[in-house]
Amino acid sequence: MPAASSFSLRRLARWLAGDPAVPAGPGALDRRFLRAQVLVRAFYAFVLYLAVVELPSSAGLAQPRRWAFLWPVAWLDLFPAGAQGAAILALLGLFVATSLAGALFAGSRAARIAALLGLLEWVALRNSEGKIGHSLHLPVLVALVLAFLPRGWARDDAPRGARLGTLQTFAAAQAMILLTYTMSGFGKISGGLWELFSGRAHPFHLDGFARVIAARLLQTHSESGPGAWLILHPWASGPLLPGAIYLQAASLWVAFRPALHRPWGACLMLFHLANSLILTIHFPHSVFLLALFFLASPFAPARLEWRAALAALPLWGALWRRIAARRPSPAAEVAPAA
Amino acid sequence: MLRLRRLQAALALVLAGTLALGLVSGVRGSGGEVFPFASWFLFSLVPDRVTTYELRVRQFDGRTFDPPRALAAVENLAGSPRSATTFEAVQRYAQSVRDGDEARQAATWQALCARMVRFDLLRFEVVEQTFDPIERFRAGRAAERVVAADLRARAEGVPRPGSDPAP
Repeated sequence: MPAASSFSLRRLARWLAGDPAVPAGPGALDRRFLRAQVLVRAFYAFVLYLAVVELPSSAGLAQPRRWAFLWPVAWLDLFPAGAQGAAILALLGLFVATSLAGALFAGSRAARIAALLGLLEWVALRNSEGKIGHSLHLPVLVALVLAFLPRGWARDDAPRGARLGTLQTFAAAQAMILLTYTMSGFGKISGGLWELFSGRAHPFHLDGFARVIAARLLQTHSESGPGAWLILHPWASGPLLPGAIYLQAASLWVAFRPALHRPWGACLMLFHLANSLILTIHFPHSVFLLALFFLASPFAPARLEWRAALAALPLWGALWRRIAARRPSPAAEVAPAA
Repeated sequence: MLRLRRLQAALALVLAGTLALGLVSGVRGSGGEVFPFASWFLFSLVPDRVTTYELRVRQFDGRTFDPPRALAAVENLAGSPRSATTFEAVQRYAQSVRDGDEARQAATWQALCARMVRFDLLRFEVVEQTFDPIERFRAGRAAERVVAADLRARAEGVPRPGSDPAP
């Protein structure tokens, strides 16, 4: 059964990767493994930073208020109203303690699972006020994947099997991050197609994004200079939404195309920055995770090769490869005629 | 090798599970998320004609507003007046008022109060607005309908129309 499943997984991975990957070269496994080790430790340091930096505002959650507890923190309902504040403070203490354990003992699976549970509890509490926001989901999902790191991954002299397992787990964490964008992209595509065929305003129309911006700014009584300008100039805002949909929907393919890790990560960071400026929607933790897992990706080539990156683009890459095949290569231009 | 294959299978299962539970969250819609597996269907629809509700404050403790002012524009009343969470809380309360559902009114009012500072007396109206977002943004045009004209609330208890509730 494992052999059959890994065979079909390999086929799926090959399909997602598109053209055969460029050989990694000698010493690549060790180099990549060492970088992945550092990045995983950086992730747990980030969780600890999150616990410490958010502690003052989180402590305010212990004040009496109306809760709609999500399932991971439903146990807080067992406490009488008077004792709930103390229970919430205990939960916050647990989050700090488990994230510290994760940062200190990331090599231990028990510590990583504890960090995952602490983070899950805290994020659930933050989203238990009647509306679920999504800016903190990504660290939880990444922590879930990293709980699977193989035994011995943190050792400098880890055996080859542990090194391969570490890189596969790291790649799965990358895929997890990109999967969330792909789901969002396909949500917009299916919603957009339904709107298109039912004669409503849709994302592929020139004023589609202007409508999204206007509704958001009106809804939250927010002000945004770039947002207001884009509402008044649909020719400028119109292409942004289909562009963002492509960027999001195609993200999962990029997990399997290392040539695109850095540029795609940068584009997704830019996407969040634009959302922040235009729509006043902030996903700062996602920006950090994109920097960690993609700008510093252990699988990305040392230097950005833009021809390879263009050829690896989902959908458009095939077109670029055709164009590139028709043009003489620079090497052929300088080679003397035989 | 067997361990690696098992690890691969487990990781693939986690990714597939995230996708599957995310889709379940999407099908269940607002309020039905299988946390933390979101559908990520954020801004999946482009607003065409939008209907939203606004709480317009006439009186907040000693301060009177004429014309009534939107909750988000009243200083020191809501903790985060411009947050999407406050907006959602206002929508849920206003819809329960529109539907005349007393049980839902009590629950949604409590949820909304949790986002406001304590007050002695609050007088407000609930207004339904229907608009095209771009037209409203550019020219301020919106069709309005007053759902409840003069609701009065003390710190405790559900708002009632008419005379000031007893302290």
